[in-house]
Amino acid sequence: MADQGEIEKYMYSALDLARAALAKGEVPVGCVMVYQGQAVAQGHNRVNESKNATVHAEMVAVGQLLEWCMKVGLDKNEVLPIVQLYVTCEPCIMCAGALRLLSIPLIVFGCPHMGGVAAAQEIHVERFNSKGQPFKCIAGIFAEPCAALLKQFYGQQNPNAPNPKKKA
Amino acid sequence: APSTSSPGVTIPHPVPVLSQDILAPVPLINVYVAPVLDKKQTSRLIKEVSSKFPLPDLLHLKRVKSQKSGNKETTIQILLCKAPSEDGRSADSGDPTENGFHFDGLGKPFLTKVAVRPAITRRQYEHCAQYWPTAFHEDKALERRLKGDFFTSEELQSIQKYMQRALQAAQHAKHTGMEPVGAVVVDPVVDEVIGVGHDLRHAGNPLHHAVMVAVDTVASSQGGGYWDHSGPGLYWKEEQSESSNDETKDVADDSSSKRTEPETAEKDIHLKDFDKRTCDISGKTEEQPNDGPYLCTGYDLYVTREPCIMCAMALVHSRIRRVFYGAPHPSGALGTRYSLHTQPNINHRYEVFKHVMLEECSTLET
Ligand SMILES: [Zn+2]
Ligand SMILES: [Zn+2]
Repeated sequence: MADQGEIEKYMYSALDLARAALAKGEVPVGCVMVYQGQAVAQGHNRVNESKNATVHAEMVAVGQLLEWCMKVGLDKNEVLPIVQLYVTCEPCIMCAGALRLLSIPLIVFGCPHMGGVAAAQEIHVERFNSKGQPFKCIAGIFAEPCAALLKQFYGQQNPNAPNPKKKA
Repeated sequence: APSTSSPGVTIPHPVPVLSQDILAPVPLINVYVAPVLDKKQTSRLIKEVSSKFPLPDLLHLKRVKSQKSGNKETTIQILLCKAPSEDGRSADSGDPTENGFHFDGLGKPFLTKVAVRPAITRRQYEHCAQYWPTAFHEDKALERRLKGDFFTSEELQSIQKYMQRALQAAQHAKHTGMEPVGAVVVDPVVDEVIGVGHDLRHAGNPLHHAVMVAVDTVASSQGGGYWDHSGPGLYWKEEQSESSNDETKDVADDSSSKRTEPETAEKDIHLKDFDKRTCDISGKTEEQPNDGPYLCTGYDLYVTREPCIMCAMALVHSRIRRVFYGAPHPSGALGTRYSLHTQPNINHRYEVFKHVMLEECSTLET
């Protein structure tokens, strides 16, 4: 398992990705995937760009990881169970379900999920999925800057939302 | 109740997947009530009792119950307070008179049962009202759902037509070594297929379930889309309208024939526009026109197999209106293993119906 310095290093990269998302008008969540001490995939939320509400940072990073596996000739089924995922915000139910389907063993995240939707902490409970392995969570790494980005975003307007919320 | 769509053809009704909050009786709790000894004092007693024992979480209950017992006079009871729960933790019996409360004109308090929350359905209301008078606002649409004959025969035919399209996609998935699952997104207002997807989880990305693929084809129809899902059996509206007009909208299998057939399944699934994904921190924000509908708002999904938790939540994110599925699945999240759509804290709700073309959808899986 990664030590505190490693954890902070990767979460710092994830935060950079989240900032890049914010600059593009996307929900500022960033994600880095680490295999054997090497960041091999990354991503940030691309929902507005793709007009697909499922293109969360985790989904983008997983797509990159799978491409990386093909490129370097590694079997994804051997990589996925030992990969670590760093994400600035607690994964939503969809992403947590996805990460379970992929048998990703460790999720490190920054701030808790916003918006009152039950999330990762609850998802690794057995009842949700019959497939995949429950994952471990390390929560609260750089929680404050991770949450601050989201607050900044939701204080602005979501350009594609049908009824954009006014500044709170 | 089956309904007849055309002479000799019977389409079974889809089964609404509702929460236990709707289907099960409202749970009961113990409360203390006391008889009013002098009926003329009732309104004064209601005032006094209500200010002494406010019941903010039992606002659905009337404070007073009047009852005619046999040929005797009407008796009136007043609801006082909740009794402690029966977990035996508290030594306090909860009896208000034992705690030193006294109201002139009230008889000895006793325990009775009342509904812990408002009734949602008429059936629940009738059950609750046997215990204590309670307010009820009937949800007419829900009552029709519960009766089971809420779709017209035209609607039933249309539901079957779209599930048939999802079955075609599922067949295609099955023949190409994928899980036999197909999904179709429909705009019910114009009665048109917006996107079709089928399972691609063995083609490279294990997350490309039929629903995820279908949602991305809808995005493509709106000028977006993230994954490069190409191949026969997958299409979206834009492409369909570009293809020859001779094709009817239900026969879309060939609509993607313009695309080069992928040689291997692995090629099927590479990411669209690889360069786009490298994050730049240049800060430029592209203005995006927003002409079309927002995601899947107002659209219905037809899928041959009950969605998993990932797909079920993807549909919440996508703002789908209704979900029709065929065969339940052991890890399904819309009624079998879990009921995501009935959770109180999700930020978008959709209706769910199951058992659409159940036999055909179940046969696919074998
Ligand atoms: Zn997510
Ligand atoms: Zn799924």
